[in-house]
Amino acid sequence: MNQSWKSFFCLSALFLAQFSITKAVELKTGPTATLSKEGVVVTWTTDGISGTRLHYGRQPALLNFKEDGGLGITHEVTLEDLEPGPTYHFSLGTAKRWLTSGTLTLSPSGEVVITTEKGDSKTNTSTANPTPAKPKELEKAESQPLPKLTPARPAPIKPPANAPPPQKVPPTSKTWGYIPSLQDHFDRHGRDFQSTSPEDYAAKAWLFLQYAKRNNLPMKWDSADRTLRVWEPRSRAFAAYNANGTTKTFFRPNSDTYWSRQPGRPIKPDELPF
Amino acid sequence: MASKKQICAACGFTGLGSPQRSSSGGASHEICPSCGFEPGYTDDDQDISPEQWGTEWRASGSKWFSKSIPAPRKKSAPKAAVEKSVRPTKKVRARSVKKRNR
Ligand SMILES: [Zn+2]
Repeated sequence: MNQSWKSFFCLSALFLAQFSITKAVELKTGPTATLSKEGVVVTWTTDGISGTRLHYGRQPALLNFKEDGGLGITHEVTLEDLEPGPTYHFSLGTAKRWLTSGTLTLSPSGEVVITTEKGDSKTNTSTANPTPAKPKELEKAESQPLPKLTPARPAPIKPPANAPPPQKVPPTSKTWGYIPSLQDHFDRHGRDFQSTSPEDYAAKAWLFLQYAKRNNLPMKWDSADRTLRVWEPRSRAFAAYNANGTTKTFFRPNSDTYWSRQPGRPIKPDELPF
Repeated sequence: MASKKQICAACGFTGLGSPQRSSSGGASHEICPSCGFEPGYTDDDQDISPEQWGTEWRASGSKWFSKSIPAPRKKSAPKAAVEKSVRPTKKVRARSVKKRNR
């Protein structure tokens, strides 16, 4: 008897310890679906970092189309080949386990209806706008921890009324630092600037630098690795450039203190090495 | 490119082009093609440490992250296995948007 109790407590302790260490990731918001020019974009968030996986198909028992993605808290997959009309069944979740299942229908008029098995996450979104819209549910969820971002992402940077005529952007090979990484930066940050392609994203990063030079935006020069960092407080855009002016990255940080934590000394455009 | 191996603090990949942090503490912003950790973004903005990211990446199957940089044959891609898909690779992504004030 004594031994049995010991075993019971040991097993209980082990179970609790395991549970506390490896708490399973849960679905936090979504899924929601919108139509973009690339296809139907399904988005959801989880309460912890996890992988991204969505399987779908015409029969609930045969989810033979698979999409997956990287790690994150916000997850997004684009289903490029959905035909308007039929109902598709899907299951989505992390790399390890499913979080929810449901159905997805694309109407001929471009309306997307997504339902989950619980029926508590029904989204009905239509758009003729080819720019991927941020799902309202996601925006709401994102805005909660950081109320200052509630009006969503700031508007894209617009040149002032007296701006010079549009500049001809050099080829991407001349503006982006490490070309093989461009796709990954675009995939992660392109949405911050409504970029439509890696080339468009790289061009916007280059234009941002020209805009920053013209308008004396805050800049820091880091002599340790010869990096220029640029900040636009109004639109909260940040970019880092190599010493030859090519781009390292371009995105909109969420952190309020991001810029103040960047190393380097303030520098004026006419002091720049490029 | 420097001959010294530059190692990802999250996954241990040894093929990075530059140190993830310079002597000033500045981030390279080089997205690790193996695990997707981006110094200066994943840690400084998303508040996810390299250790935490690496742990989750391994728990998720250590999938090769980059869509454009191929995984090396052996050495510097720890457990990196490109997952097979039924169809050709589609555009997918997961963004980490942990929000906080600090
Ligand atoms: Zn890595």
